[in-house]
Amino acid sequence: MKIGPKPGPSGPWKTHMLICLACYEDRLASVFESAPELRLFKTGEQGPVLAGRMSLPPGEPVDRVSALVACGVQLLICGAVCGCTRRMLENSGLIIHPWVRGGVDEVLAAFERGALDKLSMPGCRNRPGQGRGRCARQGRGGGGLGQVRNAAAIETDNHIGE
Amino acid sequence: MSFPKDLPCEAVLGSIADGVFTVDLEWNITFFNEAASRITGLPHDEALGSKCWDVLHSSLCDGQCALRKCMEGGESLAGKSIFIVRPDGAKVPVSISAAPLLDRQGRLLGGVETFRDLTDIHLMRRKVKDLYCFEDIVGKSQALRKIFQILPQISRSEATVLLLGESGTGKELFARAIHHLSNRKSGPFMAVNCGALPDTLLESELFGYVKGAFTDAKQNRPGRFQAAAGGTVFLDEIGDLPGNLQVKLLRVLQERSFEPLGSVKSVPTDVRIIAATNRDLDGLVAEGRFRQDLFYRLNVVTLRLPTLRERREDIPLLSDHFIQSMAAEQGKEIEGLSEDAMSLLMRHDFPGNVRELENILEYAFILCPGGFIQVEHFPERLQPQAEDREELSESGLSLEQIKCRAVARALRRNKGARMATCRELGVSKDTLRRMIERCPELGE
Repeated sequence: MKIGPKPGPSGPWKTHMLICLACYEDRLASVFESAPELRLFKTGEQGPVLAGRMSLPPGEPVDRVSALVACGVQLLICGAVCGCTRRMLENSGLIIHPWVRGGVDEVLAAFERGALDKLSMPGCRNRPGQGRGRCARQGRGGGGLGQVRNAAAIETDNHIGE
Repeated sequence: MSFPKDLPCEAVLGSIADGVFTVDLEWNITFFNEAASRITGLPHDEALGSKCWDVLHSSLCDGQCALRKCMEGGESLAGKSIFIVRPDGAKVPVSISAAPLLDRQGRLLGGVETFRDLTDIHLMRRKVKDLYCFEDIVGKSQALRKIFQILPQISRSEATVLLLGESGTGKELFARAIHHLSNRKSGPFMAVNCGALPDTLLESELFGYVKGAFTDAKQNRPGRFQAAAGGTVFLDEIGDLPGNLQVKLLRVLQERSFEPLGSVKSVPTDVRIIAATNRDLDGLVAEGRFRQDLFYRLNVVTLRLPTLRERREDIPLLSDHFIQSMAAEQGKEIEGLSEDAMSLLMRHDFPGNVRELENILEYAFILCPGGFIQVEHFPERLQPQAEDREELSESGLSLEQIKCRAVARALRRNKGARMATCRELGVSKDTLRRMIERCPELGE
């Protein structure tokens, strides 16, 4: 599958990718490791479309990471996440946008606008230059759009050698 | 002397060493003391007005909120052990208490939660546990110590490892330990049970497939050998691997490459393989059901894991470990095993090994209301018959034998500490030494 931003003036959501929101009821779960549901959305011309749901009992983070990898998820948006789980996710090739709060629709809309930073959890706002594992972003820009482009670039790179 | 009436409530709550916060009926934080800021790593100003779940990030916030239960049920809750995640990604163990907040007319205003940082207590516990723990493996027996000694060197090498051992001996636990101690620890660890999947599914699971390989293959899908690049693949029940996949696996081991299902193009792979089985691989090779060349490729480093029967001295330690974990998980106050219950476990053969011990204790945990687990809390198959019960009691024993048995039990309870045993039995250390010398069952 070739994934990458399509040319044209139609905006960032023309990128096809699978994103996951770690949820509790209709909001992002407070903690990724105990999120009871993972919701998958396919992005594209029509904006995000629900592609599936996974109900997971609380358990080993490694099982959650494996489930995400097995489903082909490229980007994860979640609430709080432990440093070790975050490293595991990143090492599995997933782009992670943690420490986000808000309702599912609100989060998707903010992602579409590239404004996820506006939904940062308390204590994660205005903390530039924080190190790895800290709730601040890792220099990937303002969230959303930047992440999509990075994901697309990574995915494209993966296909270069094929 | 009476309590001053005009004392500001905030000043009192602010001076408490435990974290305290209050919420209104909409779950907005209305008070957040200094200790709460210190423990959660969140400034007071940012916490105020935020939803409590966006501030505390606890393991209960997503569906098991203690505060909600208290506010809905009108009751208080105390001493529940959970963890919170700080903004720096650190997981902090805390003990929480929660209660509803009512006005003078008894109307619900919100809730209050206090939490105590348990990090220091956990560190102390871990230090004690570390003496007899290696990665997540618990044991102090000679058989395990030998493995613990060589495991770091084996892990650091890139050699393929074959783990042999009965079911329930912890083969996956050892495989994970090898991965965590290896240079590949930051890579993925992927476990595949070769006996659990049908042949075709196992092939696509391990090697992946390309679009069009079969009717439903609508897009390329990487297999475990590709997804685990830079990490470790654990192949459990390798003895059940079908013949055609044995050939493919042999190629992975020899040439570090494979062809996904439906592809003619070789894909390189960079994984370390750890295989495990509870079957007699030598026998399978002799019967022609397992390829000899694959067996020799896998058999670079072989670790035979001891059964629980071979390391009975680990039963008390393992029981303590499981009981502590279950108590923390379920919030049940179980002190440990009664003497009779421990004695019964020490005499059991454990065909299912450590997994069986864990299951027995899990069953007992359900039936035991609190305090010590008794024999009657064990599953029916473990319940001693009438004559066995008599044997367990002291009847028919001489006074000397009863004394010896009392000393043996007290030593076991005190984990071999003689001074503690003396204090418990109310005897001098010389008396204890003489008893130990006299009693054949004490082995000195």
